[in-house]
Amino acid sequence: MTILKRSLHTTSKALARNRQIPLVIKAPIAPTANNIKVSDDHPLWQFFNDKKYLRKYNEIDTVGRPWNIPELRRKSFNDLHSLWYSCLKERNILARETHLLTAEIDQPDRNFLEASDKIRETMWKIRHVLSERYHQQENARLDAEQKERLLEEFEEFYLKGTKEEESELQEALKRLQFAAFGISEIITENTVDKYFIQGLRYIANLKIKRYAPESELSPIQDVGEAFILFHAEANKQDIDQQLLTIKKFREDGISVNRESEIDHIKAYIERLTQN
Amino acid sequence: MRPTSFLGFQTSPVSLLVRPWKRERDGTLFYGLVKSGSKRHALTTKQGNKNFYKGTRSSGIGRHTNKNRYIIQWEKVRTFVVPSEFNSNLKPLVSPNATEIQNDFKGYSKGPLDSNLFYDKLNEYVFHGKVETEASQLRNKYLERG
Repeated sequence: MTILKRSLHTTSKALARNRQIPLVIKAPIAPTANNIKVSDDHPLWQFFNDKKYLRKYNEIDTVGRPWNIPELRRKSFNDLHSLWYSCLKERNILARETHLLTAEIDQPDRNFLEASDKIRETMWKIRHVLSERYHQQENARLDAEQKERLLEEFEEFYLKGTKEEESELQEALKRLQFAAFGISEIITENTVDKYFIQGLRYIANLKIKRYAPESELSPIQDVGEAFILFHAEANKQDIDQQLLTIKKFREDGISVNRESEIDHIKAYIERLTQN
Repeated sequence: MRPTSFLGFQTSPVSLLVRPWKRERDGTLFYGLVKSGSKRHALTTKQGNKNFYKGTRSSGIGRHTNKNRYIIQWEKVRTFVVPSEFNSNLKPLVSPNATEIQNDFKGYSKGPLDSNLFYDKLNEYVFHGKVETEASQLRNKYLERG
């Protein structure tokens, strides 16, 4: 920013105010909150409860208790995240009010402080539950035996299923791919990692075993072929058609290098989402 | 008796061995790594040597320029991630009349960290979907598997 000083320069003369503005005296605006207009969606309203400057003591929740850990264990990640966020907002409001009270009566009020402490308890319990989940998952990841057993059990269940149960089987398969390999139904939500690749192979071989058990192409090892089968619809016709394309690929010598399979699948998915 | 690993974040065995003798380039001890005194209390802002800066996790979000300005680096500013689908039905405090449920991790020796529990839940989800099963239901109006 340039600072224009008073001087004899021509620019300062030109900029000088030489127009006479008639002086109109208006009534003074009283410095109260009523005279200040703030839009309803101003983000700083999030620091106020019901747009109140300060809540009364009886408006503070003194009887409620913090959430306990077993209650929080029932909740989904999104619910816990939402709850933590609401707690954070509520504590912000309480902190603002406590600050005002300390300035005015020189002593923070007990109700405000206790409410804030209780909410803090809810917050650390949320974090506790999340850490529990993390460590449980890590323990489970080390327990490869159990995972294999689950996959074997599912294979049995999937191959035994009758034609009447077809839709039920597909739902179960969707749940399994999400639970065991983290493959989401919505393709853009996925992150391609080694578990994703494992899942592709498992599901491709599962589909071959159910819909084309006599095929000489199984077991599928190549991840490109696995992706084609993973993406195929779960019926005999579509699987047979895809197996033909895989056969053609093999004759042409098209395959995915084992080291670059993650990159390949990432590129595949990108191309799919673009179309 | 095994020594308390109060500086457990330094996981490498070499750094653990070297711990009390780590020095800055000018020869002074690295803050907090004192050779004597109580080691079990958190350091306050007044303790430590000249290298010790505790802060309040509220500053250090930018840099000063030589023209007395402060440039905020937004990637250093703390942000809170908003939930993708905000559930506004959950309130920070629970009604005092609500029954407090309890978890008994019956048959799971490691309690909430047990991998068997993880796989049992996974099995239930895969084969039955998001439904209440006999194992996961509420017993005596307050007791749950976990």
